[in-house]
Amino acid sequence: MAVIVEGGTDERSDGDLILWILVWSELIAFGMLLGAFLVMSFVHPESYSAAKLHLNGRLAGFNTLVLLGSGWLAAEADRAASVRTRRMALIGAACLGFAFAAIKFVEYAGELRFAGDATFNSFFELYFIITGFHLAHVVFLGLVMLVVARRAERSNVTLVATLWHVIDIVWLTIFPVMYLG
Amino acid sequence: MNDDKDIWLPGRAVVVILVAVVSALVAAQWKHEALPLVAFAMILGLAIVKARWVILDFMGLRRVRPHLAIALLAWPAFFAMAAAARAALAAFGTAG
Repeated sequence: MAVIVEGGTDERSDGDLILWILVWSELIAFGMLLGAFLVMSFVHPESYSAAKLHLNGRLAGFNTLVLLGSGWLAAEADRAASVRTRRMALIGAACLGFAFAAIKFVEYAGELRFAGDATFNSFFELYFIITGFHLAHVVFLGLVMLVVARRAERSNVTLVATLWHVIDIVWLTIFPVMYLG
Repeated sequence: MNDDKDIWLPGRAVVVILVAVVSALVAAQWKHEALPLVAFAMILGLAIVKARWVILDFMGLRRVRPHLAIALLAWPAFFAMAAAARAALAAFGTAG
């Protein structure tokens, strides 16, 4: 990505193409999973509505705030002029990402017993696949941000911050689709 | 990435987080009942607003690649609308 480089002129780079391929492959994968979930929720509205009552909306809502805060720090890292500020913002964003993962595991602890329950018509299977896939991205990108923080070059920070925002947007889409309604 | 320094990120972060706090509080209030449409509208709106800011401003696609920006915006918008449609169907189904 990084369509506008530091000098303000438009330039394409090989990295742009790879980043866009990565972004769209993520959006397509999550899109297919969310599409499957929506179709199943239309097919089995009663059991899906009943299953949602067993989800912890409070923790998920709080986690949304944690991820939004993390996304803001990632954006600040990209804007920061000094390497030190960039580094601190990246570490902060990664820590909030790990906090998101920890809270999600607490949430899972209360929901695991419903996995495989036939009365909910695969709701929890899809729930764990979609949120688990997203969680894996959060943990992996959090580690990548820590690595990038060691050598916080502008191009690397932009790349990881962009991917972080994409995963953030994916969660903001997952949240209403899975938890509400 | 956009180099426009006139975008005040902390201000935007405050707005997004305020909307998220209110949405989460509303969602928590109705944990074991059907959510009111206003809560839906706020949370779905939050997803679209955040996506719009990120795609148009952070990624800087507003001027450079408008078609790509539209395609990216369509992704959360599609699922937001599908979720809203399902919620509306459920609400009308319950009412009827």
